[in-house]
Amino acid sequence: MVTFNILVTVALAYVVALFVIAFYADRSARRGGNKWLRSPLTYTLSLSVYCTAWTFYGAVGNAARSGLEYLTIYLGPTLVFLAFWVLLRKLVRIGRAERITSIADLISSRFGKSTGLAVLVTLLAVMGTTPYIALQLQSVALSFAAFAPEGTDVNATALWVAAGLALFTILFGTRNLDANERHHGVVTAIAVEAVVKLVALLAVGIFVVWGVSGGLADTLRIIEASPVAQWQPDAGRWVGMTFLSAAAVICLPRMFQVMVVENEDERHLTVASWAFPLYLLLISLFVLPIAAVGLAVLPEGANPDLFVLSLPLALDREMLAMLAFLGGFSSATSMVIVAAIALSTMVSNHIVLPLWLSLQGPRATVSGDVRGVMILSRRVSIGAVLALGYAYFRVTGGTAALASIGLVSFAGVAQIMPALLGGIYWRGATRRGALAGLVVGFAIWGYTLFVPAIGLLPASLMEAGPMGLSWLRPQALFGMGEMDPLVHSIFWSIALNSVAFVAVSLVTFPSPIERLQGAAFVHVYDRGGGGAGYVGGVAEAEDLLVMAQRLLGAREAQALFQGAASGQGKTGYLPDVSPEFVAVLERELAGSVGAATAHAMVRQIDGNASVSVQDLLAVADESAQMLEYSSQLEAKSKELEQTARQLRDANEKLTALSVQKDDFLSQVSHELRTPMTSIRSFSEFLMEGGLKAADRVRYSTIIQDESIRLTRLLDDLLDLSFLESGQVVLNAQVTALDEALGRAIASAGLGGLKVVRAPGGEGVMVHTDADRLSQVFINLISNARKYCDAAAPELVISVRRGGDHVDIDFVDNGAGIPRDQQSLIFEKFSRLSDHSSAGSAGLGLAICREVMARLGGTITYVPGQGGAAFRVSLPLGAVGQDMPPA
Amino acid sequence: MSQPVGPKAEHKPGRTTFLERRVYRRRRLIDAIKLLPVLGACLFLLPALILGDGSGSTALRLVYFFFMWIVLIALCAVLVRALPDDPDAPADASDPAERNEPREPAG
Repeated sequence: MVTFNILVTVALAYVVALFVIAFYADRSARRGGNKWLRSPLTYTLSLSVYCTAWTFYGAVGNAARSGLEYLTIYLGPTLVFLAFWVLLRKLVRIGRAERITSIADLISSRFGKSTGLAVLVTLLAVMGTTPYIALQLQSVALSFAAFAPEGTDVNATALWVAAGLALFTILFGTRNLDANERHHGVVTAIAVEAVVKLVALLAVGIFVVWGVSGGLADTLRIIEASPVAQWQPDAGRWVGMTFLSAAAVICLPRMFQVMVVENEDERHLTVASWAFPLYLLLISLFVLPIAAVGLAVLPEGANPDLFVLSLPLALDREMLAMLAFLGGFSSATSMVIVAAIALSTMVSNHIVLPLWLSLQGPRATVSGDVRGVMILSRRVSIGAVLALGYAYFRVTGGTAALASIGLVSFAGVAQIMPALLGGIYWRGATRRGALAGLVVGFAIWGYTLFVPAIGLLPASLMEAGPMGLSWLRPQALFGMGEMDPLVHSIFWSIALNSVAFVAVSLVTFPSPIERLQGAAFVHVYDRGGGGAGYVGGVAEAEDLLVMAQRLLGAREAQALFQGAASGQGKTGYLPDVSPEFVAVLERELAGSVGAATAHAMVRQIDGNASVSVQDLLAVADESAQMLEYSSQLEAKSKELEQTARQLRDANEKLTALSVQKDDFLSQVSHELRTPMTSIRSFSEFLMEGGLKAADRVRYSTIIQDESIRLTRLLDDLLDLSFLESGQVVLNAQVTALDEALGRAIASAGLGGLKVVRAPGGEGVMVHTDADRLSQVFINLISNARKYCDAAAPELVISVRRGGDHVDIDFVDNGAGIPRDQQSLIFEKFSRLSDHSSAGSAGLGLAICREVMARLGGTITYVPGQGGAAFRVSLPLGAVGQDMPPA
Repeated sequence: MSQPVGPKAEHKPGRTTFLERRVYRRRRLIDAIKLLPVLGACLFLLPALILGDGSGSTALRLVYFFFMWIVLIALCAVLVRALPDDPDAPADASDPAERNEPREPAG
């Protein structure tokens, strides 16, 4: 037989084990941490503070009373976690970016760091959580009583439990002040407790299904036969409670604490998104079987809220009962510890500290010992929260069923949801709107649910309404009496809360700081840092340092200031008090004392009452200037790039020219070398003597021919060089084109070539250098003579006037020039390979091109004319006068 | 005034029409993840709304809810595990060592 004393010993041993775990986890975290501490598994398990003693004992009670309805309490959170990508991820991101310390801090920070809102949400949280803590104390006390001999003082047990929990929470919950330095010890202990309660409930469940009923099928048969099967779903209650539990899992202070504040890494959420629903599934898996079997096995009148414990006890499974007891104990303690930490943070940051600051006078932040005050205030708050819970437990004394208190609490904290969701998704939500919504929702919840639930309203009022106004009856507002009281209350409170929130937000105008914070929250994914907390004023960096030291601790504050100073390019500990620096400092302080208090403290030093629109405009201007500067820089860099590209082009051109020059030199050398070689060889023959006269004449002739060719080549080169360098003097005169052509044909020497002059173009007078023009014509004609490979070579010369110029075409009937060489023929030494023997240096067309360029015209090759076709184009313009034929 | 000032606000990432295949897959996975709660709400709430007045079997309902529940959990687990790491996620400066470690299986 497990005696009461053994039970107490086991409970104490369990608590000691928790202390040890928390202690080592804290120490290991400070030394750099071990992997397990920061794993998504620990995060997921710590989320199980959702499952309190209400779940552990109450769910079975709930199932015994209303069948499957208990499932809604777990389906709601499952939906929320499935929606993690849209909702929880954003909450966690905001929580990290803004150094959020609690849900009250989140609401207050979003709506312009309002102290009023923070206080309101804190009060709501305390009111919603206190009954819940009382519930945990009651369940622990009852579970002790289940083992205890008759007459044991349940109240004393509850008091001891409350005191022990206060001690644990103070020890591990207030070790450090910066909420960003998370409570590793507590979180680890909570994770261990999560395992204990899951194992305990599963053990009882497995025992019931396979040990008592004899398998799954039998269990389902027992369920069908049991009174729990009489329950039929009520759509209103089903949807209402699912909604309620979904809202609660976001808004409950303890859930917010483990989910957002204690979150180590955003990626843990992706694991928790399915792992936490899995945990909930496992926790609720055996609830209905336990309820059904309990109802069947245990004597009539047994408290269904304690079936988890009394079932193994009644069947003489004492070790299992002990395990179940520890599971319930774990559920209760983990909830109380986290709730106490969350509430104490809120109470201390939003109520005690502002009060203390205002009592201390204007320079308190510089002269007072804030750090000490904060720790003390948090410890006292923890004690106060637990004392309040104990007092509530004593007053209500276990009158209400466990589950209904839980739902009342849920409905209370759910009032925060409209402001929370509106705050993170809607930039138009204002402080006054949030305030209005919270007050309305809170009031309706209190009137329709909370006060009736604790039995403070007289029956006459419940029946007839206040002052006989029946439409104001607490559980039948506006005559909606047929609704379930809980659904009725949720419906009216959330609906009117949302309406008030939206309506007031629409008609009011937010202050600048609200708008900044709103943008920072709603667009948290778009921005690196948090919202601005600009304070324009005359704060001294030294004053700020003194204050920060008192809040953050000397070393941390100095490191922060030093970092900021070096960021500004300064040395030492005192940075310029720029708006950015103040914003950063405020955010750091907010991590310790909450946004509203941090803002108020910085303002106190700063001496500036509020942020003006001018200040904000100044910030905006600064950004605009930066933007302009950066666009200037961009333009400059573009310019540089352009110049670089031009330089690169010029360089390429130079390189190409240099290559061209080298080619030219080597070709000139080659061309000079060939005639020189023959001259040298034949002059050697002549010098040797003994030659016949005929040979001598022949050799001399060769020498002379080669010399002439050499001279011509040099002449051409000189000519080209003069033309290219522009040193040629043109002797312009009015000439008849016909005459120039005639002269050219005459002097070119036709050989076998037949020249045909097409009609047209007679009488065209050009003002140009006739000799040079003739040179071009001669060149073209002699080219035709030399290269035209037709059997009966023929050259057609046609003249056509077109606008301000005249075109002279030279078309022969040869093979023409292959397409791939057409672009090369005007280059120097571009003699086509198969014509190399023709005795030309390949400078002719190059000279022609230069001459035409000097004369202001062009010479081009015209493809597709049935042979080689060149077009000489000459401007008439100012030089070319059209003269009447003589 | 109401728009955030700064170059970051003007060049919002992710406004391209054509995405790399991997990025496209990631976006569609996220779409699927976003739809999970809708599916969950349908599965959890509709039976109660539709069959509200009937006299259905409690045991049958129990099996239905737990089956759907486990299906949703499995679906969610598969989807989030298929999701590649977000390149935009803020690096956790407090613990550089953790980032290099493989994600631990949990549950």
